Amino acid sequence: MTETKPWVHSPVVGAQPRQRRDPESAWVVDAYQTHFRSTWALVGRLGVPPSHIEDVVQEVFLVLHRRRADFRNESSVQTWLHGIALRVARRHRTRVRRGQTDPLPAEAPAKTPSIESAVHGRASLARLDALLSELPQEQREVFVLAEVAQLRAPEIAQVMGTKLNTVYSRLRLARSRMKASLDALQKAEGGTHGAA
Amino acid sequence: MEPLDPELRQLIDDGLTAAAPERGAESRGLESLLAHIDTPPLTPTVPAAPILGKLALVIATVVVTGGTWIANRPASVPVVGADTPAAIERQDPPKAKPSAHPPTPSTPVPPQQPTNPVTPAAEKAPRPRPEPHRPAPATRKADPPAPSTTADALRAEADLIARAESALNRDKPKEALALCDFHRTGFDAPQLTTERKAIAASAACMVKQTDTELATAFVRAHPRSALATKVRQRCGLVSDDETSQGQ
Repeated sequence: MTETKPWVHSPVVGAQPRQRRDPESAWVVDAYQTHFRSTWALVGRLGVPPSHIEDVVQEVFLVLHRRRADFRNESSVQTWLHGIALRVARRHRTRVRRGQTDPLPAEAPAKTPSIESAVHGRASLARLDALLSELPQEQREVFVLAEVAQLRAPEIAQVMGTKLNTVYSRLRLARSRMKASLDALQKAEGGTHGAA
Repeated sequence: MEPLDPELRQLIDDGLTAAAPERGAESRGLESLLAHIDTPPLTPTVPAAPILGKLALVIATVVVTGGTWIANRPASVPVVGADTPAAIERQDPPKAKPSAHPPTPSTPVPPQQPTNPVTPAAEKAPRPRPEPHRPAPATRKADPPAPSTTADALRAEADLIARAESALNRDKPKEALALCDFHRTGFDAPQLTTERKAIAASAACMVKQTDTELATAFVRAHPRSALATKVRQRCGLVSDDETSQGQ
């Protein structure tokens, strides 16, 4: 959980503020440039439909902008931002369920260096999302915050407003279910391939 | 906590390599964010408007956003009721009534900020219900919450929509999109969603000519409205009438 992954901190290359800004605005822009990609990956794993991710990520940073005065240095910007992302994603899922979202165009395919890596990466992502979708929502959120956003358990407890023991319990259950689902999937695929 | 199962770890790592944002998404988002940051604040407090004042605001906004659709309706169709902007909006997926739609407890409610066009009270305001054909009696009891918050929200909405429309007219679709985004996220129960969707649809295809999906969806949903006519014009879409005439 401590290893830093390339998608966790990938500042947006070439994106610079257009003008000199006040410190608070500059802080928001800096947070955007630092955490855009990790927020994108996080929101997608929290069950937001792919074609809505851009919209939801934008909303996350708008909330960050509106609430910047509330930020205290009790947690890192990343942890605070992930808390916002968690709530915005929850709200968006609710709106999707109620059919309250605007129609959005499908997400354009991402450009990747090679076909092989793209196919492999997308297949893995589809499989990961399929496994995540089988988890109960609370377990999914804890799992994603721990394994995708790489937050520590106390940070997750803070973000979710739950007890630390609850976080550990949910994470343990989520890992167990994910592993069982992955094994079952691999077994089924092995059987399919064998039959073919 | 013990480490994650290696196969699961590998799956997550491999999968996340494909979870990269679409090309251009970062810069689009940053543009939009900067537009919000740079947007001058609206008047933080406005005096309470009477019900008829709210109606005038809605009508003014519809006119500003090109909503001359009433004139295009068949004469046999009554103007009030089914064809009001509120009725058009009701064609959208159903939304919870204001009373049954409290702010989500887990949703952070933004505090009042200098750059926020909507006061916190306005963000919590339920959807106002302008009823053009039924003037409010002077002694009508105030709806909870206070009418002033509803009026504030509606006024702020109308201002945002007007500014978004103005941005389109100044050939600044990205600014219009940013304002639409602000309208979409800044109000708990927005009233002028149809107008916003029309502007967003036009702006999307003005940013990228081939991006006409939103416009097509809007025109399909509101085929006879003047807003749709405007979207067609801005996006270069051919109307069904023109198509049938050409055949």
